[in-house]
Amino acid sequence: MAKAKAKSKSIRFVRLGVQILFFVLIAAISVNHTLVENGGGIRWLSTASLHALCPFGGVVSIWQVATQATFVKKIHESSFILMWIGLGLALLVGPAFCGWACPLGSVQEWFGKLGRKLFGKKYNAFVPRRLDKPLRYLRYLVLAMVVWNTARLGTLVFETYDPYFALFNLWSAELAWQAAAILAATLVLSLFVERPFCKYMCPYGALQGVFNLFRIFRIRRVAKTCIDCKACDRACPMNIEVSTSGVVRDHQCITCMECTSERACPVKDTVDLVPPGPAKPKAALAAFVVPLAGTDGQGRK
Amino acid sequence: MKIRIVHLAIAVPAVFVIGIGASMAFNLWNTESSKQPAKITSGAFAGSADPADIRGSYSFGDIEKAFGIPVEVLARAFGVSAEAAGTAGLAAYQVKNFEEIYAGLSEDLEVGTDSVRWFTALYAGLPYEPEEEGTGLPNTAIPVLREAGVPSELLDAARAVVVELPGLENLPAAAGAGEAAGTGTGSGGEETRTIVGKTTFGQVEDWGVSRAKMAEAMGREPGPSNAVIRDWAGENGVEFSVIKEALQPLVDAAAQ
Repeated sequence: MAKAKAKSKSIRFVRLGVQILFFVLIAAISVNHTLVENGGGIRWLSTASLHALCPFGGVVSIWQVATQATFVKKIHESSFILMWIGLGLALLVGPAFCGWACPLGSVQEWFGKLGRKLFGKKYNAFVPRRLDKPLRYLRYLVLAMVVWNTARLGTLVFETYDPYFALFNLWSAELAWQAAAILAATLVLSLFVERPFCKYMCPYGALQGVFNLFRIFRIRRVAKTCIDCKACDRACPMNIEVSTSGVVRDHQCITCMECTSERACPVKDTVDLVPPGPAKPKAALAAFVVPLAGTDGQGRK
Repeated sequence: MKIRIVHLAIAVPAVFVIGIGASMAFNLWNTESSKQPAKITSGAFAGSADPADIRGSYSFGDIEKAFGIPVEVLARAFGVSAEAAGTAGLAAYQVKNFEEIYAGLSEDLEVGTDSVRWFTALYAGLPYEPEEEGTGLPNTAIPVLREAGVPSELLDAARAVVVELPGLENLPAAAGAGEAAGTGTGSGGEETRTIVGKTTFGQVEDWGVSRAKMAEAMGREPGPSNAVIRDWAGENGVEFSVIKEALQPLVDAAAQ
């Protein structure tokens, strides 16, 4: 038992390590970009701007690329390539970008650890379910508005409100107060709710989330061996009810693996990331639409 | 078959490394825009680099490469000392710095990216009308232009909008200035309603000018909403200044 616990703890640090790797890399490049503009910097490290390293920049540029064969200002080929990498990864294993690579998601998670210490079991359960469910669809509205306005105006409209941009431009004259305010609000809210920006507002997370409906490798719960302890539900940062799912197709899953038998689930081979079994395409659509009506994607109330 | 946490920990960074590496191998990975200005498409100067395409992210070195104006000449004209340029040197000094370090020197005039475009055109003998109302030139640019043999009528026009620079020793060093502060949709989310090089038709619509009104003023259908006006003008063989002249009064009227 003690050995299993030790293993679980060391496994936890694996994802943390990857998150830190991405965070440090993006932070270092962002700082280096400023330093190089001021005549300093590290020559062997990339000097790319944050826009050049943002996969969402590729998403908002799609219309302009299709209609004008140009990128939205400040967006470059690299954003497009990162977009395809992110979407390819999502097609394969779901929004692993959100759960493993996104620095803003990681920062929210780290603030959340403090919140968990402060509020214990109440943490991540403050938002009433009735309110929480529909709010989760807000991010699709944000996605639609950002894509529409970027296409319409040909400028990076989201930059002014983007907390991810603010996070790595706190020292820059390009920082907009709106983005700084949203970042501050996100971090404060992270003390109460896990990953609040990811859940309710993130337009890139919205796009990534759609891939949960048809991703190739899925989180699957084996009902036969499940002891219904709900440890998976408690572990999920996105409040997904894994314990009532056969296959997790919830649009909010971030493939963090916290619910799996390697982490929260105490029973071996019960919750795992696996390749597709017999497909049930209708269930996929239901999982996306039905939660709004108050059921769990398996048809249960 | 199961994907374990360790597998994902390897796969996620690996997918990025492989994807970026492959794009680099095929020369597709590009994190900054090309510093090759567009060419003038018509008239006697067709084929020459267009000063109108100089952007804030251009460095003195980029301008030297594109227009053949030595970095030292640019530095002298705009009052940039080697110390102010920092360790990166004068060649890496970016044009966008001027809008910050020369902010507030004059009530009516501004030394910024458009000043560099205009100076470049005058020095290189290329056509260019300043895009922005209130574009000024630093007093240090006048002797440089005179030595370059710029015709007296052009020199007089430049003298009329001179901005006196403080002593070089009082100038702040180049900061990592935000892009294009104070023009169009500038930094900090603030917006000034002046049509500049990077303004799109969509922004003009957003400022309350309908496409019908634009068409009437321009004498032709405006470009797509997401088209940058200057780029669209260049592609359609129209001077940007002509379009700006037609549209700016409509923007001003809509603002009242």
